[in-house]
Amino acid sequence: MDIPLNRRQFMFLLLLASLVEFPSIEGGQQEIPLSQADFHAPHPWLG
Amino acid sequence: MNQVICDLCPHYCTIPPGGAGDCRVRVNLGGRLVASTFGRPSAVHVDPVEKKPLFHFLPGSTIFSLATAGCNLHCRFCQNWQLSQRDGTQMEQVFHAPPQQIVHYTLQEKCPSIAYTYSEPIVFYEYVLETSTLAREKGLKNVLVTAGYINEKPLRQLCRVIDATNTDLKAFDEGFYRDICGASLKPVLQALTIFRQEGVWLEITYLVVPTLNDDLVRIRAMCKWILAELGAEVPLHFSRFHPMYRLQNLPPTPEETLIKCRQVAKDVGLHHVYIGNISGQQGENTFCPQDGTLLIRRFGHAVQENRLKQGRCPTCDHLLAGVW
Repeated sequence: MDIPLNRRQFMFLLLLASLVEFPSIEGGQQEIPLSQADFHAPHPWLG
Repeated sequence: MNQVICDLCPHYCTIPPGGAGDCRVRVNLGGRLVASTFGRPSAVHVDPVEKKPLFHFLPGSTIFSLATAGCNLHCRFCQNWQLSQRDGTQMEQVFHAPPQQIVHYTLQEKCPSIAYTYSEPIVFYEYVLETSTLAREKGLKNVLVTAGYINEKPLRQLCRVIDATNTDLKAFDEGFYRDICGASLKPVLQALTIFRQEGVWLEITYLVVPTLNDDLVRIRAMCKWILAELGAEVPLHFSRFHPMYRLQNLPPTPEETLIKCRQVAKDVGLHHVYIGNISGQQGENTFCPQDGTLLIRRFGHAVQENRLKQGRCPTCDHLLAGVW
């Protein structure tokens, strides 16, 4: 069944789509620039 | 078929197209073996070098420390399993960090060295090799914190750019390595001897797991092997186990057990035996093996006093083994 969208509905769907963050090719991750790392933050890792 | 065989470590994984080795991160992409975490660490921190633990290597300094996901062992007691027992795609964060940037930030943070640590640097071997080579050109030192499960040829090649290592000796028992770690002991012993032969500063960590590897007879045998094959001056760290990962049914290592282990090692003739993951112990301090003078006083990961004079004991002038 063909359901026509009015302009307002179309714009709303477009807005929703723009909010969805699509994953990158490599396993759904965004790589964080190293400049954004906090090297002095407490961390759980041993060794 | 386009299978590939990874000959980096003694697992010699045969990897089908699209698959990964036992380490989860060395993958077969179209018939080509690819280190999928190259330049993509999931942990990057500035730590005290004592945390590695290295007690005879630039004491009191900071070390730029990084790890990617993956490990070629599967220790049931792993203390960093959220890093080591995952592939790169399962990590909550992954940094974009090519080797040049690691070196850049190490210099910016005024760290004299870089540690490849937390998980298992052997599985991100190419990343370590390239970063270490660049780091050395800039006057930085490189540290490998590893389980030492690697084949001879790649290890000797890596040793050319590595200055120090803390290598885990998980047990002195093939059965333990097989059943608890998914590996074997012999290649680890070989790696320890290679580090010594290649002039890499070596310290050993032994995590004492109650009931599984705390038998003092075996620990004595291990200490004798270290004395005979590696030398009395190789520091040995007995580290406290905390219930973790798949061994949450066991209690933390009792303090008395660690003290007994240390005594056994000293009785055998090892000069520098430490107790780790527990603070406020004499086993945290460094003493002169010649006259017993307290040389470095520590609390936890902090150096409270360092009395060494260019690596020498201030009272008897004995040159302490290490990198000062």
